[in-house]
Amino acid sequence: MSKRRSPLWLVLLLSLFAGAPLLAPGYFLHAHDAAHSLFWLTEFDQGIRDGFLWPRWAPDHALGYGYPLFTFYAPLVFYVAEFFHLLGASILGAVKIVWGLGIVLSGLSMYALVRRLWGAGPAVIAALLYVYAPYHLVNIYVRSALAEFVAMGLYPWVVLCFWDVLAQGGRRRVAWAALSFGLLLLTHSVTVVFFPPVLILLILYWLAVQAWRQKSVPWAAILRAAVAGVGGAMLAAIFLLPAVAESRYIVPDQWLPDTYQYGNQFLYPFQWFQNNWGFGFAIEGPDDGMSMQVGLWLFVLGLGTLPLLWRHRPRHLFTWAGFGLLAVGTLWLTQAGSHFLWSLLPLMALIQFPFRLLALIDFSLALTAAGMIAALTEPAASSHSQQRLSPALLALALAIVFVSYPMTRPQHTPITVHSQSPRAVIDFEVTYPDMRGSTAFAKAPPQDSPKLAAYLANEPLPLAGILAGQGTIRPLHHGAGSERIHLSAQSPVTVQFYTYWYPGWQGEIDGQPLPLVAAGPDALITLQAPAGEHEIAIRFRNTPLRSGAAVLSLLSLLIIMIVLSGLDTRIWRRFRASIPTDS
Amino acid sequence: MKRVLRSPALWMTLLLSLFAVAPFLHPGYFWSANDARHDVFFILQYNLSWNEGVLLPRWSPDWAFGYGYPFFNLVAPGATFVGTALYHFLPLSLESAVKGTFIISILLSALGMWLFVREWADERAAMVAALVYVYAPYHLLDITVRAAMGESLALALVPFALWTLRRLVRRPTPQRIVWFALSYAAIHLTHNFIALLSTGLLLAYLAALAVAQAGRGHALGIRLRAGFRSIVLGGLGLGLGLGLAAFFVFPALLEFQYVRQDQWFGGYYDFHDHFVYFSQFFDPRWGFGISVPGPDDAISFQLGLVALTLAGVAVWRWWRGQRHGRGEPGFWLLILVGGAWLSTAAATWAWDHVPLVASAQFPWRYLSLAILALAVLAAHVWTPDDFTPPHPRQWLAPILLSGLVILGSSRYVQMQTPPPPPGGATLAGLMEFERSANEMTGMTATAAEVATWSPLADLHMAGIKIGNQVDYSLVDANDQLVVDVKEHRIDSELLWVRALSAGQSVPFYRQWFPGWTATLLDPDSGAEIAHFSLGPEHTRPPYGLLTVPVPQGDHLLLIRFQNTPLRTASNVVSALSMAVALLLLLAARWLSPVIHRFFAPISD
Repeated sequence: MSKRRSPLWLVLLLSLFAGAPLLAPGYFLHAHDAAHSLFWLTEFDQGIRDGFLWPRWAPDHALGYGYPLFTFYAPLVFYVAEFFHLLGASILGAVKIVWGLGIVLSGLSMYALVRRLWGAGPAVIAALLYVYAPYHLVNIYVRSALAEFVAMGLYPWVVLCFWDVLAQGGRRRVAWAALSFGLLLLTHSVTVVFFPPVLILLILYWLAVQAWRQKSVPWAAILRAAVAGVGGAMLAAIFLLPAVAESRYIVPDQWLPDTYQYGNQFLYPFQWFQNNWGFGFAIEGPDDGMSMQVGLWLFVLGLGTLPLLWRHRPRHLFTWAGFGLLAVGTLWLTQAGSHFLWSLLPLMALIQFPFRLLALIDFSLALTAAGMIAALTEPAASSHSQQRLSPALLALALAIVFVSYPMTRPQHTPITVHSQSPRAVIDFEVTYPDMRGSTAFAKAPPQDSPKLAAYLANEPLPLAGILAGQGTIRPLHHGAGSERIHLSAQSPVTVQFYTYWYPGWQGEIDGQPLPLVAAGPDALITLQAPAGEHEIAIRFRNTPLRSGAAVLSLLSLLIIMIVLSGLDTRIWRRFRASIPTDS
Repeated sequence: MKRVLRSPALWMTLLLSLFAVAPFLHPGYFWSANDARHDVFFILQYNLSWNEGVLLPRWSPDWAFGYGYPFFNLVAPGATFVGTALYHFLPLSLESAVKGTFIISILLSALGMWLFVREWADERAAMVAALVYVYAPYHLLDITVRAAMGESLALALVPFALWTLRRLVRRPTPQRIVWFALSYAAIHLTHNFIALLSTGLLLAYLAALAVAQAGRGHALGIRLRAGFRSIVLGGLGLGLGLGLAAFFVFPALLEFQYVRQDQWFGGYYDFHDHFVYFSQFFDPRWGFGISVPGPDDAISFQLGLVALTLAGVAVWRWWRGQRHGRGEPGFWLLILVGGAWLSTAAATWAWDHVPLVASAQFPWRYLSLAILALAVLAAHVWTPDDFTPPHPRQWLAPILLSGLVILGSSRYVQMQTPPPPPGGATLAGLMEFERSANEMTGMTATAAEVATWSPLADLHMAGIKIGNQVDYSLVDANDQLVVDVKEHRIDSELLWVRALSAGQSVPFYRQWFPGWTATLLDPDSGAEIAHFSLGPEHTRPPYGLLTVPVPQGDHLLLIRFQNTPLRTASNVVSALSMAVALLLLLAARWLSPVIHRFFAPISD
């Protein structure tokens, strides 16, 4: 096939409209999590600049006491954004670039998956359906859920990689699958809850179909998929293991307040069809302030064409049917009739909002739509002519963009200096006191902190204070996971850093280890120091678990890179060659 | 039938109609829609009669604050019947029953139009036509803004009548006479005006079919005979349909004179204030208000961008001769123009002088004809040649157009669901509605004034069940009269009466209407002493409520709302028509050759 004829350019060209508002000056700070995407990158950036290759501590949260945010919030998108920030983009610019890349990624990965399954023509339609799916656009311009949005872009790639792994052998395919899966797990925490089970179900379904067709269990395929899955999970171990193990050190209920309870957030089936748009929040009841629609074309092409199955069946029918079942099943899971299942599976509560499953619905319906379009266009089309778009498909592509075009309009707001500085977190927490996180060692979320006034006055932050004894403290260094002060003590003193104690914090006095304890209602880092002149430092370091998890991830990454680079084959050949043979 | 059920296009049509159905899945109710409260109370009233074993009631007890009104004697009850069935037999609230009726009407309109168009066009063209019909702005207006339950259900039935008529004329069988008659009767029983409108439409279509049946190239005599046979066949179906619906149609027509006309046609209902301006056909604005004088109605009278475009393409193709001279698009173009014209002030003369035209109440109701024609014309975008030789790719354009049809109306597929008004869907709510909106306060011809409240309404508001409808305030003030109610029903009342002097009469809280009778019975033996019809002379001012004279002594007095001779005769006609229909169905095997011999198409 000639690449020049690939209609991929059309996907990229038409996707421009989805991302065009990002080119406008300012941002859309009224979007639900728009401010988060900026101030979390700010926090992440501080971590990187403070010498942490894998930042976990967000220093400005909890009114300046800090919070192990990136232990629980998958950080991959911030790595990407940080890359552009270090290259010179502003915080806002870097975030916008990630949004743009997310749009391109979703179109490209869906195009790649469908092209593999059904050819280029249906791939264009599926890619545009996915890019312009209402929930996809809600995630940018209404929810501004950066990580979730980028994760959506990865779904098709992950599924494509595993589909390849099952269909064909090869270490590189397994490595690609592991890489894609691992990256997805590192992208969005909530996706970790629902996507792997869906992927496993899809794989089991395809394996069952394979077994039924071949009249034998495809052990090799099972092994390949299992290795890829384990490899991906290992790659993400650096995030997953601490996130699971350390959840007891925070207050998970703060992540699941009443408004985040799935029981209050089920969709009403009419909402799937409702052609509405809004910038408000999901609320209890049927009158949500934001759109919960599936999307006109996704429904028309993905579900509305189901009766055509009686006459025209897509290639890879069972694969197609798997996506169809996924769509219908997930639709069912978004409405209250599925409450019992949500209750039976407590982990599902972490999804928080059933509407989040619209991402899976968009994904699966785009695929069923593409399969059906392939069934309608295939018989007369060779794989070669499938590269060309018929006028009808071109019109359909335009119609897809046309329907969602009004949804690509955010509520533009100007950007302020504060929005891209540590102060942004403080402003947010002052506005929404219920959104202040705390560790499990604190008695309650902070109501105030010694740093707050300094934040608000844009003055240097006080890093620590003396609880008992006499002396003075001079701040020397404030970092994202490290603090250093100079202490002049006339008597032995009790020093308290205005930082939450949390496993991993270690102290030093004049280069010698110093035990730290959590003290006070806020469980802040506290230490005893003798009289005299001292330099005291604290640093957030890895626990054995974190170090172990990092080693696992590095090992997995190393293996994947070796396999993808073909180094393994060369090593194997040399090894084989080095063994003397009888001849 | 198997061919129909196996058509993917049919099921796609129904699936794609879900966007129109979706608003009715909202847990709330569209209380603020024009007739939404009426719909709920219609079912509430109808169900009260069902609870007393009356399947087809004519009298509604709680109109006019409890004085009652022969509403279902005058207004076709079909949609209310369906809604009541849903309410009565399923665990649904009154609101849900209304919503269920609308859902049925939406799906029926899709099915009916698909079947009609499929009769001569490709299944894909039928799909697009059906969706144009479902998503026609005026159709959506009827459903979500006007909440016109009867009208929307009747509109759903019209394509069925067209379909069955076409099948009957083109290949007559005894069964097809019955199917056409049933669909025509169903329209009559569902909405008065749409019945009238569809009668004209069906007659015109029958004429067009007759012309088509007459064919070309034959001798004039043969062609005339063929055309005449078509007319007779259609006439038979229409006659049988009218006969089936006679039990409602004739009393509705002939007894309408016994209610106050001013409440139906005066004031706000003066049609001169409701003509559609030409620009409004293309005005994309949408609203949830009502029709007002001038061009700034708070509701939309647009014909629909996509539908108009498709119709335009169809007409253009027809004009360019791509329809090989067939006249069907021309016929529907005439209907489109006629329907649109009748809704504008350009047709004022017709409204003022042509009998029955003004029975529409609102000129924009003629847009029903326009959307029907637009939907059929949309199917003519394609010719049969467009789908030969068959290829799966041929689905793409119809699917694309279907999506555009939905898209074109997607802004209008919405509903306002405010909280329920005071009283909600209860009798107290009905009283509040009558008082606040001056709706459902219909009075009969003997009423000099329109009631604004009643003692019965007080009881409803207090949640007290009505045990009798005797005006005891007048009885207690009369020391010559003692009344004890023995039995109270919606359409009857049995009392023990002691009149201590001659010239006494028992006052009731019931409106007069032909059909009310009084029977005097012996209190001991129950033997009938006297029986007489109650006329206008048996009413008292100002509301024309019944006052029944009783002779001196002790009696049992039974008043009942019974059939008048007209109603009885109409019932007999319906029963006979039903017998004929059954005969045609059961004896089809033997009657078919006869029908075929006399009515065979010329091509046979």
